[in-house]
Amino acid sequence: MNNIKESRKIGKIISKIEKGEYKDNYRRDYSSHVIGITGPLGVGKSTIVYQLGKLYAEKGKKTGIILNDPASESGGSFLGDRIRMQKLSGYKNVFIRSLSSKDAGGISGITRDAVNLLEKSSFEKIIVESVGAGQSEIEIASLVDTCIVVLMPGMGDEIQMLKSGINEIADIFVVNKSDKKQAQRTLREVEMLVNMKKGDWKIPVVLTSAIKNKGISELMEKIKEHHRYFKDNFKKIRKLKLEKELRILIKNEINKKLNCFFKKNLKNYVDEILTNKKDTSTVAKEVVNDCFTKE
Amino acid sequence: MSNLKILIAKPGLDGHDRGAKVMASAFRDAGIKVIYTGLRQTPEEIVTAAIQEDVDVIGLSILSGAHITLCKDIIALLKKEGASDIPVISGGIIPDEDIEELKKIGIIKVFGPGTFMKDAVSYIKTLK
Ligand SMILES: Nc1nc2c(ncn2[C@@H]2O[C@H](COP(=O)(O)OP(=O)(O)OP(=O)(O)O)[C@@H](O)[C@H]2O)c(=O)[nH]1
Ligand SMILES: [Mg+2]
Repeated sequence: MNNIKESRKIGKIISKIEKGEYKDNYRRDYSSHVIGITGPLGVGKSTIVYQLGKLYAEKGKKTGIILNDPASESGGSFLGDRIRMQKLSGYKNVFIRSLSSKDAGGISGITRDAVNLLEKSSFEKIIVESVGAGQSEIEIASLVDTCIVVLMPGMGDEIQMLKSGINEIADIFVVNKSDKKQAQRTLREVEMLVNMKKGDWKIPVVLTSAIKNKGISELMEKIKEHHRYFKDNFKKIRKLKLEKELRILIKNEINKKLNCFFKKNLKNYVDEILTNKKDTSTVAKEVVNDCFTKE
Repeated sequence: MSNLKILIAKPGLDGHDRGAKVMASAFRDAGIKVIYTGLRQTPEEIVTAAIQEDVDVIGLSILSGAHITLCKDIIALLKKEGASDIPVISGGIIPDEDIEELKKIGIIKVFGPGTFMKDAVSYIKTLK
């Protein structure tokens, strides 16, 4: 099997997607399993993607890998995740692509289109790496079927970061760098957190040392279990994911509109308060009521 | 804003990629998207990565004349895969007599020792 011609075609289309020059109305049929890997900087996401990708590829699965890097301020960027992919470029059934976007808000849209394209091109496994740095991750997480959040020992405040919202999206936790001290402690801390969560999917916590290729097949097993759960409860999960995603997107849209609104009108309201002796909370309520009741 | 994208690769078996990394950060600071594939990449891996990433140019970091055959292989592979529209440049410690050889092979520009990064950057920017 030689997919270089197909790679070229897909590579070119993804460039168009990045430039906003390609749109189609494809709706996912879930013939692919889309796996997201997210988590803070440097925890070993790319190394895990590499090990997983290699396992899938060796099982003969057509595997797509999408790497998301934050753009640097100059507008240039150093798309470094690919360094960790090492020999994976040599596999004929693997397609790897680094995505970047100048405005972080755009990256999830681009990722979605790229995922769709890969599913359309009958990739069985699609792995998406993204840096755990806020909103766009949550958007990316909501478009994957199985979301893996990677942590590592000695991050100082693991729990703090778990509180930041990223834990909401985890279907599986990985504590990577098990070769380091304190790995057991971090593992227990994460397990404690997970045990407090309700729901019929019990979130597994997997200990790995990606660099030593340890724990990866256990992780793959958990991914498989989650995929089964995902398929069995498809409608329910789909609804929940859509709900989460919609909530985030609506917030985004409101924020955008709100900023425009502030720029345009805030001064006028202040003047009104000063001349009519109204108080700020009354005006605020009036403004918001106007927005949400008007058609 | 430039959308220019370069793949920086370091063919060959030696483990030195300081030069490649210096190139990479200079390009990035100049607003170019840089994809770095890391050490010990074969011609096949380099060409595959360039095609999947749909780059505008491939930059090879070369340390010795021994890399000339690797360059030859890369150019040949690009041709075979119908991707010879992707230009290949190279930089590194290259003796003068090898520069001619590289150009003959089809490397469109060679930045030998003593090249100023800003010259390399402005050249790259003419490629798109
Ligand atoms: N000790 C140890 N180091 C690891 C392990 N996995 C990855 N690393 C190292 O951690 C560093 C970061 O690894 P990456 O895989 O690039 O991490 P990442 O999360 O993708 O990083 P970003 O994409 O930059 O956020 C590298 O130096 C890896 O070699 C591990 O299991 N143990
Ligand atoms: Mg990474």
